[in-house]
Amino acid sequence: MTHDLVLQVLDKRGCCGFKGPRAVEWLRDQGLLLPTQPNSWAISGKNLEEVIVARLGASEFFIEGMVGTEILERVASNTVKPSGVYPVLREDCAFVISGTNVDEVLAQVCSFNFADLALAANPVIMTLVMDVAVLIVPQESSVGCRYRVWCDPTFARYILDGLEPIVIEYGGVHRETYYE
Amino acid sequence: MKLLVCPLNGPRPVTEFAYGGEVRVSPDPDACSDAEWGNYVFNRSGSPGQKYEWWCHAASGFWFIALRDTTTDLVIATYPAEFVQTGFSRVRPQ
Amino acid sequence: MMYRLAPHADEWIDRSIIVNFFFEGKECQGYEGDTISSALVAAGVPFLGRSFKYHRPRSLLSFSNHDSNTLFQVGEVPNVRGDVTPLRAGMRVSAINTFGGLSKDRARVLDRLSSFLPVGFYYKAFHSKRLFPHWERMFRALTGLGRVSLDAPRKFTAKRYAFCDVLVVGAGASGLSAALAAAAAGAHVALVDESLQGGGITPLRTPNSTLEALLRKLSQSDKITFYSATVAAGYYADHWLALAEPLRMTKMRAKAVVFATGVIEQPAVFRNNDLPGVMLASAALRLLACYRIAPGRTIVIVAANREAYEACLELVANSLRVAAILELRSTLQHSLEDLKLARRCEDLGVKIFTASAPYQAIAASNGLLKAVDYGPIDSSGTINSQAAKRIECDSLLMSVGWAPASHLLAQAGGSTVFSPEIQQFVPKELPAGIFVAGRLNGVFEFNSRLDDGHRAGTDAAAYSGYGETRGSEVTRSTRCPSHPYPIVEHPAAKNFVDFDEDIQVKDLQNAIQEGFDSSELLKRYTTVGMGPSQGQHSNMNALRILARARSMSVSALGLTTARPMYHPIPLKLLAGRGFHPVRRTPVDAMHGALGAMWMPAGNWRRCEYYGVSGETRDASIAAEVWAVRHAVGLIDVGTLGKIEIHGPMAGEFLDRVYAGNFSNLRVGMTRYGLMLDESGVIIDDGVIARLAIDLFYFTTTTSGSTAVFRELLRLNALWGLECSLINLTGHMAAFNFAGPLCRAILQPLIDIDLAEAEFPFLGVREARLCGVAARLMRVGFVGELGYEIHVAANAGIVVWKALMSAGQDRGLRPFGVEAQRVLRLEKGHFIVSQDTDGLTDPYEANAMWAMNMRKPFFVGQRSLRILEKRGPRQKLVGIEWDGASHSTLVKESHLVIDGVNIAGRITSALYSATLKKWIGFAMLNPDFASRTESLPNREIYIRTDSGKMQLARIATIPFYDPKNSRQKQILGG
Repeated sequence: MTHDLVLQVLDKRGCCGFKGPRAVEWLRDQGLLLPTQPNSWAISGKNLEEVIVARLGASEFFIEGMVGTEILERVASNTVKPSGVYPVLREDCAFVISGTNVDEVLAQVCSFNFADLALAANPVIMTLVMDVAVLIVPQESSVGCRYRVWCDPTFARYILDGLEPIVIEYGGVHRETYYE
Repeated sequence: MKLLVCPLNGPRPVTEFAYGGEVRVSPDPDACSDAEWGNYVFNRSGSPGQKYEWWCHAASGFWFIALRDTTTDLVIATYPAEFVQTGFSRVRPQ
Repeated sequence: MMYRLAPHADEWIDRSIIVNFFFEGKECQGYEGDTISSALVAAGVPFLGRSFKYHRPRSLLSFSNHDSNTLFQVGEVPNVRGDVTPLRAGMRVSAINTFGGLSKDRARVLDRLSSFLPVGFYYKAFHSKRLFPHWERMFRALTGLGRVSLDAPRKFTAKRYAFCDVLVVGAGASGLSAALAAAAAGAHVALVDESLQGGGITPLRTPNSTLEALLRKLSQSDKITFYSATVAAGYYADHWLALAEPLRMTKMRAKAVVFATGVIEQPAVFRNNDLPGVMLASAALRLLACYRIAPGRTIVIVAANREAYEACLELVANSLRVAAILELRSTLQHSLEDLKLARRCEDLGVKIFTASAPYQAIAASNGLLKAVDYGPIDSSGTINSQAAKRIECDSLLMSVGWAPASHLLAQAGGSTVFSPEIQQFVPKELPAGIFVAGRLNGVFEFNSRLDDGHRAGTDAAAYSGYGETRGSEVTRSTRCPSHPYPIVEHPAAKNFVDFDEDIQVKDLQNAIQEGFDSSELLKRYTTVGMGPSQGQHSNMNALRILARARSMSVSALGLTTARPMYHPIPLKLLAGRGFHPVRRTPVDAMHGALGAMWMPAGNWRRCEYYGVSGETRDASIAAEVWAVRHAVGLIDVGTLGKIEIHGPMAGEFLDRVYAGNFSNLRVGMTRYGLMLDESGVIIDDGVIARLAIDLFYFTTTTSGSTAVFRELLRLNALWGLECSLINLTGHMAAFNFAGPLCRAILQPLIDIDLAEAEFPFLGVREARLCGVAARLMRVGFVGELGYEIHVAANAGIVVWKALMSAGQDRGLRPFGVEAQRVLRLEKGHFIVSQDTDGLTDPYEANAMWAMNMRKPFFVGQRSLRILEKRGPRQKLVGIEWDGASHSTLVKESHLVIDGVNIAGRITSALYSATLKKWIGFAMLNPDFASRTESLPNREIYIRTDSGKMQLARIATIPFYDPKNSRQKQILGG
């Protein structure tokens, strides 16, 4: 039996957010590719410099990449932002859940119908997992759908502890640390 | 479980939402009488019918307005929250 | 007596595997594939259970999980449904509701006492207040089914969400047809059936090859998910159904639903219709077809429909002896088909007595059926008992009618109307997306059911976006499958309408006579339909009795609606895994090693105090308080709501939501904020810091953080001010580092000057602390020099450890919520929602200093103008008292007594080791509060748990350091 069902905590990723009336303009000036539709995502940069930009609603942005990524460091740095650009401190816990039966695992903790999604449109889903607000980006991969999840760090233990026995029940593993 | 169609997040079960009460317009606090103010603060209309209501999609913190028929529990339309400043004054019951 | 027949190719059992199990302690054998019920009757077990009220012996009735005769205790699991639960090796099965075992049940005496237990007996006999506790104990012992083992291990079962385009409930002919039609149109289909296999409840009577072809198509379809052994137990809004599978609950959201739930066979009502040996004809056919069990050696059928003759032919074809058919109808001339079937039965040697009804079933001395007395009935259904004759038989099958399984349809909002032609409620108006097929729809003949299923499935698929509607007419049955009044009176009663609750015809008639003469009242007074089978075999007959007694039509009275879940569901399926979110602060991991004693605070877990070995709870808390007062203490306040507001109108926004003024707050300073609701009641408080002209950072209470932030978002949407809110509650760690030594310890770790002149009381600074960005606020909550330190969550542990180690040699102690409560109480700070309640306004809490009525507007301001005129209705005051013995321990919510009146209540009460006295808050009646001004020593009395009074004094607050010189660091203060 292959153990390709994995719950992986991504602890080498950094993230930050921006909102405000001039956030779009400023982030574009920083060289980021911004998704145009609310609740969708886009990728900027290549390989190790790759960052994902999720548009939450109309005017809030969530940016995540490897710690040390040049653009992430630059936009998240402490320098004063122009007026109308409001940095949002994001200390989210990031994890990935993927592999065989991943949809069965999610079905036990989340009422969202992932099967109905058009993945080509790069959707971002804000929903509840085990009654806790999360941000989910589903991505296609060779083993079916791969879900990237971010949640408030103060709920991380609760969510991971709740997911772990379900993942194990479906023959998967929980990797505490993971380098991507 | 009831589905509610969030203008931002699409159809979601009602457990993902928080109810914010009926959209009501306060009387001018400086011009109204104590009785008028008391009526605004404490009395709610329980009569059935179509009502504009505040709803918040909890996972995204997105507030919007739903026009709901409280007799049938059917949501007739939803609007972004800006509607309370732009369109609501035109349609609200006097 | 029932017995097993020779094998048959289509049977559901595997005779090569013998399954040993125990019933009532005795070893029994069944086969792989048997259910508990089928194995027991095949093994010749005469009684399977005792009835609920009279403890009469019972055996199979419906054999379809609709009656409560076959509920069993299996090991530690109570109320296992024997009709549908697969037999497993080693099962220890016993009957429920017995005293001293099934055969010697001591409570069987109740059967003889039944005439002393009329309907409504409990209401009439046990209303005496004095004796009620006695009766209650007695009846609690007598009632309830099964035994719960408190030692049973906790097992988690899953609950899951699922989605489909079309959900079909019922996998009989019409349901199968509907599912296949919907799948053919391209829809994703979920098909649900209670049974282990599809095909419907009466497998042998339908043309087998067609049904088999459908089942084959089902197994080959990749569009259909088949949920077997699954009860669709409830319908909820927007096509959401609870599917109770054997080991998990699926919450299915469908775009369209087809109800093909069919009909439930109804018993005839006559004396002793509950004897072991009397059962529904459909039960006998299922026993025969699936488990190869004969209902008896000599069979008599009570008939009122075509199905009775079909059953008869089926039994005879299996070489069983049917002695007679008692036909309730006066003639079969109306239906050529029925007549033909009757002729064939007669040709096979079955005697048919038309216009005849069973008068009573006769039990042998062993309690089993041995004969039936039958007599002629007239057109009104009245039996001539004088002309009754007896036929010996050991099996009496009832085939007199059906009731629609319309529970889910009714829950979905579908209306029904009674069709006198077929004596059945049929669907009238259906809500959008709901479709009905088959016998539930009044369509009885096999080919019509297939067609009706096809129609419903096609239309449901079209509704969910696949293919076109068919929308043809429904072909309802032209014959009548149900008798209008299959009920026979008997002077000695025991003619049961409800087998769960032992309700007889006369019970219903008496209740109607007493005025409980609507369906709802009758149900509640007699409890008809309120047992485990939820009226599935009793509601229709009860309704017919009610209609006749009131000379009304059945359609005028209507049925009661079964609530979801209409069928009993194991609690484990409802419980699921039980998700209860628990929040942990960013430095949560630090507390455990320090001996944290946890307490819940909202959904957070917080440290109440740090237990030190050899120290009592009180001593630990006192030591924590001492450290803050004399050295330094560190508390994790990461649970506080933490919010940023940006934008040019941020100050204006805060002016509107808080009672105080904030647009005039200087950058680098903080101010206490009091939040009110529109009625002027205090709902939250916190500290607001101005970091820049267009940026504020502020805190809310732990318990209010989620709701306050959400309301602020709403107000921002409502007002449309140019500002933006950011919730940092979970993304920031926060500590209060307080005590006379805290500045000296902190200074070496930070890159700013902490001198009083540089960073005064109520100031806020952004700095680098231990190399990480931090926000520090000079706050005075605990009444000492102190800094509230906020850093990014991931830096929390670094800072915590640095502070702990820097203070290690200076007497630093981490302190918990309980010590903080003492410290703040000594300072006279109230806690919102502990010392205030849902009606407390700032005048009552002495918090006028935190409001600015000259502002143009803030939430609650207009109400405060009214409240100011009205005057307070309660008044929060500080109180203090000396030594308390255990019997006069004052606790929160104890009452303040003024003579014979209640004059207030205690909201906080704690011992202050610093002040060497007890201190607290009391919310007093304002008249009393002002009267105490003139009392000697301003004394009040508090009534404690023991009833004894504790004397206390009204005190001025703060109790400790009234000039606030310590937190402000005023020299010489």
